[in-house]
Amino acid sequence: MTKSRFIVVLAGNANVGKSVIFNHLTGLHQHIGNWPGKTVEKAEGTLHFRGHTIDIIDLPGIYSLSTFSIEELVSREYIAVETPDVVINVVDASVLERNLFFTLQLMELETPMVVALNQVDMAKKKGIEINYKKLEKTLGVPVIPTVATRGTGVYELLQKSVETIEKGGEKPHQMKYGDEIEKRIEGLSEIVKKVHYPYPARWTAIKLLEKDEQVEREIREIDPEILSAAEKSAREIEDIHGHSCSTVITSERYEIAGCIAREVQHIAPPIKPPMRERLHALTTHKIFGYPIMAIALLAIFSSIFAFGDYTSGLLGDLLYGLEPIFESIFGAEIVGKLIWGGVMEGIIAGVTIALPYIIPFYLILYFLEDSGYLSRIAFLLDNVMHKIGLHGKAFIPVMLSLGCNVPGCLGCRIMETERERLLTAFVVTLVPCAATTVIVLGLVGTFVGVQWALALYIINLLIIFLLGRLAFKALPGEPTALIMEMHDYRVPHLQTVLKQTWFRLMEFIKMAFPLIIVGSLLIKLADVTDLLNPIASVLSPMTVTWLGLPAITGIALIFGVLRKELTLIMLATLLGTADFAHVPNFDFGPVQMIVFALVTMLYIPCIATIAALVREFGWKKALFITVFEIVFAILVGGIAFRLLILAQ
Amino acid sequence: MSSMTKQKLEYETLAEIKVGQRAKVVGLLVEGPTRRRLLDLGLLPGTEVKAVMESPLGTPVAYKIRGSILALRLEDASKIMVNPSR
Repeated sequence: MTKSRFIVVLAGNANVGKSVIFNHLTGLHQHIGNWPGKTVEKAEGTLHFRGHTIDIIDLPGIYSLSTFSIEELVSREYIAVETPDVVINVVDASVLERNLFFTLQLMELETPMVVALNQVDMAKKKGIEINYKKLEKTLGVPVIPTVATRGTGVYELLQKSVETIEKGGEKPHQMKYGDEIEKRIEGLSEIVKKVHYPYPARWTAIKLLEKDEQVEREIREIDPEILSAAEKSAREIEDIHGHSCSTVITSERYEIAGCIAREVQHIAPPIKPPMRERLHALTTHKIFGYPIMAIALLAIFSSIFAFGDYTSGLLGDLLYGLEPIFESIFGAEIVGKLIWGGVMEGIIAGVTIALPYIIPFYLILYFLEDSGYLSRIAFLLDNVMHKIGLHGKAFIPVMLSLGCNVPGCLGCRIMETERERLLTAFVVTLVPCAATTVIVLGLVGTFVGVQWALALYIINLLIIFLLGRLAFKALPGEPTALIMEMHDYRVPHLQTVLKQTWFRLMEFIKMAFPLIIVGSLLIKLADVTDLLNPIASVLSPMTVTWLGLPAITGIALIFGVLRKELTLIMLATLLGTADFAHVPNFDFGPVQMIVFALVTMLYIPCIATIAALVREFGWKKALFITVFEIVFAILVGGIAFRLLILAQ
Repeated sequence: MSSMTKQKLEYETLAEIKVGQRAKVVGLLVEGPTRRRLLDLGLLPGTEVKAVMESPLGTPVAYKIRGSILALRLEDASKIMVNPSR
């Protein structure tokens, strides 16, 4: 034993309780970020055990190690290239066959493994009894039964993992396919062995036969002859079986998984339909499904908004109360203005948005996801969401964006593919948030007419519909079908949900606050150095000529980047009155109000939303969405101005 | 030729399977990532599938496949050829 720092990886299907085990193992020593250069979340944690330091990495929940999603690519690359000391494969005992299908693939990566046979209690309730000793023997890797939600077996799991490492990390032995396939796998791996490729030769051979795009591409660069040999073998297998080679290999793998599952499990009919099944029937019921969902969602959203609104106000009052103290320390001159108006107001904006809305949102999102209700909501609403090119699950982030776009963007991670995440985030940033509602109602609703405010909402809805469809067509990557697993209802593990919320909040704060503070500081700097008016005149071809607005509205729109409600506050300050019906000295009538509100509705996700986009999708995509929406808003605003003038 | 047409008639798509009915998968008429996903979730030739419920809006439909419940849109289910059990 020379090394005392180990890497242990958690891998398994989605919804098998992987994150619960992760939380048990790592406690409060965790860090949630993204995989380098990817929009896939990476959860890491550290623990100390018997004198060893162990880094635990929670891989995303996946069903296979193919090329379906980046999650799968990231996972297999990590296991093969970074070669962790041991892989803990978390397996759902009640869906054994499908889970073993994944286990077999992990074994093919030839990394030492331990299987956590999780949720054995749930399986028992369903009448499924598993002989784990027999499973251990058949698979040739240690199997530990666990009930992660209660912490049962987690210690033994850790103990067994460390033992496996200490013993020198034996590679799992390989399951054999049918003779005609096995012969070709062996032949191919002999050739693959001769070239330098980071993945195991046998695995590479299997993937080549499965026509795995990534492996094919990489092997072609190394030696195209290997590829033609693989193609020949694949054709031979296809001729024998009459199905595509990938279908044949997947079938065989399922065959093996099914065989093992049948051998080790004993299924007795459950005594009575458990509570969760009755709940399932009720929440997806033809008649009761929707009212139950409507009540549940209404309760959730109104409580988030009520909590958010109240806490936001409270925190805002509290923090703004510090202004005199800051003034007494830093003075009311330039330095004082920059520190208060730049740094502090940026922090206040961040705090009053982030904490009150993001915390309850994350809590509820994880609760919905872990309990299984999210997939039922998606089941009920997918038909509607699909019309704007979205997945049924996208309903939750889109709906929440009516309160604040930030949690909406962060919530896009519940979507299963990167394409869907990006598509949902784009739609989310177009949804009018609570601050936008203040502007539309406070300006147009009050001074022009409620019917005009309503018209603006309808226009916004149409734009969401059109741009959603357009983005669905324009976004690179193939649209994937809805293939959604609806796992059994279960009680979410509170501690895991709380920790996930906490660490993700921290991650957001680390990412967003610097951006918000810098943005705020820049705008304040422009303000104290009297640069705002020159900037407004630079913008005047856009504001005055194209949009027909007074030049000073340019300043209001710039402030809106910080927080959208600031546009209205700044507008009142700049126009010199909050009575927008009688604005002296400026040409600011109903037409201007409508155009101004419309542009504000669409023009830019506020800086916190941009930060959320950066956090989830990286700078490039965040900038693209931002610039697109600014240009689009100005375009629509100008057209609206001309139409309104014509109609007058 | 006549045997081909006869055989074709016996096949239906998964979208035509009514709630409560069972069928065996014959083949998938999709390519790319969707096909990969369906295979990985166990929708393979010979797999038994049962339609368990339908969204009140008509689509998606939930199917019981290898012990788990998967929801598919009808437009995607219509690309899965099955042999209904009678």
